[in-house]
Amino acid sequence: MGLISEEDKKELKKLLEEKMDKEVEILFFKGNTPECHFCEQIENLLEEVSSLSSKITYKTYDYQSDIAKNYEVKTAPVILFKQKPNIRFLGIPSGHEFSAFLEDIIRISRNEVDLKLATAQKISRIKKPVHIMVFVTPTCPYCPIAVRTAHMFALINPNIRSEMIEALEYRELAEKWNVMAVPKVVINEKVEFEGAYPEEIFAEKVLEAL
Amino acid sequence: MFQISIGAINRLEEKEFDVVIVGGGPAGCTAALYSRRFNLSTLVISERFGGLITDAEIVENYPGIPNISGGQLGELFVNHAKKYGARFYQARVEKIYRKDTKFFSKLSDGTEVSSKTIILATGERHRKLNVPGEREFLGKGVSYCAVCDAPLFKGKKVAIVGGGNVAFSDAQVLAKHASEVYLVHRRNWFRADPIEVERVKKTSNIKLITPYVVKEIRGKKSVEKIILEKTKEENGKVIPTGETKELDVDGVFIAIGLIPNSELARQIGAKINERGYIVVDDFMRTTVDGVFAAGDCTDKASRFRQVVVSAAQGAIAAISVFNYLKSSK
Repeated sequence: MGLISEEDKKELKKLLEEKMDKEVEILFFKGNTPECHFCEQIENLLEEVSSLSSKITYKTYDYQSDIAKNYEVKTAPVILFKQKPNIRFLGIPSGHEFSAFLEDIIRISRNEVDLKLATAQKISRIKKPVHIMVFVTPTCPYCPIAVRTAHMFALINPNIRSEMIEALEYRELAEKWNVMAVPKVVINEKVEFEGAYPEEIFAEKVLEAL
Repeated sequence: MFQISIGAINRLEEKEFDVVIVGGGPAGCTAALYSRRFNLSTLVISERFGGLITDAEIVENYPGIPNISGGQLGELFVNHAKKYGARFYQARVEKIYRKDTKFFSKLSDGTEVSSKTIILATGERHRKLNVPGEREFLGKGVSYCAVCDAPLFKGKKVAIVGGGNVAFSDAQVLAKHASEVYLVHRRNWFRADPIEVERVKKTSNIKLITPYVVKEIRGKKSVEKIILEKTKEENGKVIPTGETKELDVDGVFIAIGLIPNSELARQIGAKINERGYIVVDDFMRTTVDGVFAAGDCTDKASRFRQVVVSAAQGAIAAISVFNYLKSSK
């Protein structure tokens, strides 16, 4: 059996067929095994996800390759989207995060977000570079809410780079930022908070970090 | 270890429904499933689909399903209701008010929907210890979600506070990651099922520390220790003895019970009991015409706190809604 059950695959195919518009290309930057515990699983997952729709493709690169440098990828594993390279997953989008990953694919394909007008206006006006890190664990049911919001911000503003960071795969980074509860959000290495806040408050925190 | 969950895409085309269900846990999802089978147009509004049960690592007492994670069970509930065409929308309901014969629900994102009836399946939220340091160290070692945060305490010492099933199952989750787990409880006996207590007693890195209450959580940047006070029980009451001790821990997980989410019910004028739960009759009717309630937010289910009880109440509420709409035509 694959990572996604046959029954889910059927459902997902229908969903993607119905919701997707443009093609989405996923780029996966992998590291060496055994240091990269989940790289093989991530590749299997991407293989399965790309089999769900002809509009989803993926390519695998080494995290030290030239193309990795072009995308400013310095670590592994990193997943990003060619159309929106500022939307990233550092670590496996498994467990509860899988839904955030799928929603990203659909949103990028449709170039569409679910944000309130006021929030979208605030975020789209930002001219300075913003780096949002959202630390998660795959077993955290609240985490995708924070990832979803951070990624939607990146979708409407190319100045914002939003990363989901799986705290167990990126243990050193998690320790550096003293991650003791998830979701934990760090913006521009300046503003940090824990919890899945509504988009209005999240947007305020982004502005605070400018 | 590897599991997949499929979320909802938030979009709402219709704005008028036969029934709006507030809450997407076992009660809300079951009510939605039954409502749809009665062909009622049904909207479930929830901040989090699946409800608090999705925080449980393992559920072993839902009939027919011997062993499943809380997250997966929640997802099965949601998908079952969706299969029959229930709409799910992720938002918080800020306000419900009545105008003529209709109810209007105002949502956190500004959307407003109307319905002929309401089912409140709003569940409960975590009770706090209310001790110094609890708020200060929230996210810095203090946590209410063991399945979320336990992996971040690998090789560390943690305390879990509480004596019910949640505390005991959290202790098991924590024991997989932490080096040492202290289960702190204010009595010498536990509300948790004996089978859970036995399991914890057999786990070598869990120590029971009873009868103690947490007086204070201390640390610099993050939690470093907790101050405990010994208690004694007299005529069923827990009395502090004044005898204190310190326990070095890197994390404190709190599972001391839940309090009802009954603010919306209060707002529309439904009767609330002295413990804060929504009063319902045998048909899940609240004291307000057209407003029903089901699950752990009600005075009936809260004494049991079981998925199966909440689901059953959800079914009853939906059947009552159907009969109510039929008779009011």
